[in-house]
Amino acid sequence: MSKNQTVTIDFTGSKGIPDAHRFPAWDKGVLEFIRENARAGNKHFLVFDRGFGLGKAAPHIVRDHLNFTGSNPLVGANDDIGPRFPVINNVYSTSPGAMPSAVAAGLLPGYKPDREDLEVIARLGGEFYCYNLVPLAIAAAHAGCTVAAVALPEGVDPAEDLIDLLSSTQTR
Amino acid sequence: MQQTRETTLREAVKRLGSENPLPVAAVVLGSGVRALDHLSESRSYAYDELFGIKPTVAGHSGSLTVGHLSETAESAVVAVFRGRFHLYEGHDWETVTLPARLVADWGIPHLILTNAAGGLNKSFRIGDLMVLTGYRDHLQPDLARTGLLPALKAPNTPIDNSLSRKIIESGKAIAQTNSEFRPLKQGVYAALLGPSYETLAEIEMLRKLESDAVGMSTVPELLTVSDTKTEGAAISVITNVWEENTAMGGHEEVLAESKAASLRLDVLLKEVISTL
Repeated sequence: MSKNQTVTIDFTGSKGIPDAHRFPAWDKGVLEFIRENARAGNKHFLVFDRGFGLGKAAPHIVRDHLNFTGSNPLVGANDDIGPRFPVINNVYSTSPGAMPSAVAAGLLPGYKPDREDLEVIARLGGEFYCYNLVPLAIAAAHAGCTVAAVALPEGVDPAEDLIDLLSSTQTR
Repeated sequence: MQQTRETTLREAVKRLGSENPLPVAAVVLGSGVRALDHLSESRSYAYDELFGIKPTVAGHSGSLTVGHLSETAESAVVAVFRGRFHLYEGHDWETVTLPARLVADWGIPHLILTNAAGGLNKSFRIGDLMVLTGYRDHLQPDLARTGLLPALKAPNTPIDNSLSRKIIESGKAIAQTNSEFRPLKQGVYAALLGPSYETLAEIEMLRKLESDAVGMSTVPELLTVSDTKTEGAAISVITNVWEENTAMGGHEEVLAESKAASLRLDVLLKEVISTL
C-alpha cells in the first residue's frame, strides 16, 4: 500500500467512478479499511454515497453532517489510532470549485423517513439524508484523515471532471 | 450477568451500610471535576471493589469516599463518587447507572451529579457552573435500533425539585457575600452518546433545540433516581464554549479556569450539603 494516496470509496455502485473501493454499506469492514489506509499514510478519502430527499437533484459536496444514526462507530474501547474524544468538525474537505455544498443528515441504514421526519431533518439543518457517509467521516476524523464527500441523487453518476477535481482537493 | 450485577449491588449496599452512617447526600464528580477532597473520618472504596468493574477514561479515578464534610462530628456525612461509567465506553445502561442505583438502594435522600460540559449558550464563559433546569436525552439504548429522530422530536425534560432550587438559592447567597464566586448559570443539558465531539452543524442544531450545554453523561443517573425516594439534581462545569470563527482558549487557560471552577463548585457543594 503506497503512501499519500487519495483513496476513493464508493457506496453507490455507480459505474462512473474509476478505481473505487466499492462497499455495499458501512460496516466494520469499512472501519478497518479506513484505519489500514490511515496507518499506511493514506489520509485523504474521496467518498461517494447516495443522497436522498429534500430536493437535491444534482451531486453535492458535503460540508458538514448531523449524526442521526443513534450510534457512533467509536463506541467501545478506544483504538490508539486516535484520541478517545476526537474533534470531527474539520474532517470535510470542500471543493474550491462552483459545486454546491450541503449538510448531510446520517440516518440509520434502511430507515425511510416520513414527511414529519423530513421536516424535522430540515428544521434542524439537514439538507439531505444518507446512510453510510456519517459513520465513515467520524471514523476517518478519529484516524486523523480528511474526507471529500459527494452525495449523488439516485440514478445520477458523477462527471469525470468532478472526480479529477475532488481527487486533487486536499484544501478546505 | 444481570443476576450477578444485582447481587454485587446488594452486597455493596450491605457493606457500605455496615461500615458507614447513612449520608445525607451523594455527589458524583465527572471527568476532571474536583471537589470535596478532604472529608473527615472517611473510608474509600475502589469501584472495582464495589462493582467489580472500573472506568476506562483518564480523569475518572473510579472510587467512592464516605465521610464528614468537616472535622466536627455533627457535620453532614456525604458520599463522593469520583468518576462514572459511560455508554461510549461500551458499557450498557445497567452498568452506567450502578452508582445511582447504589445511592437509591442505600436510601441516600439526595444525589448531586456533576459533569464537564461544552457550552452552547453564547453568554457562557469557560469555568461557569450551570445548574440543570432541564435536559435532552439522546442516550436511550433504543436509539441504536430506531435512530435519533424520536429523541429529536421529544421536548426538553424540565428539572424542578427542592434540591435543584436549593442549589440555585445557595449559589445566589454565596455570590452576594463572596466576590470570587461567579453567579451560577442555569440551563438545559443535552446528553449525547459521543465519544466524538459534535460537528458545527450539530452545535447549531442543539442551540435550535434550546440546549445550553452538551455532554455525554448525567441523564441516565437522573432517570435512575427519578422514580425513587432519592432526589436528583445536576451541575455542569463549562469547560469550553462553542463559537465558530473564534479562537478557543489555550490549554493553560482551560486548566486555570477549570481549577477556579472546581474551587467554586467545592464552596457551593459544601454550602448546599450542610443545609440539607
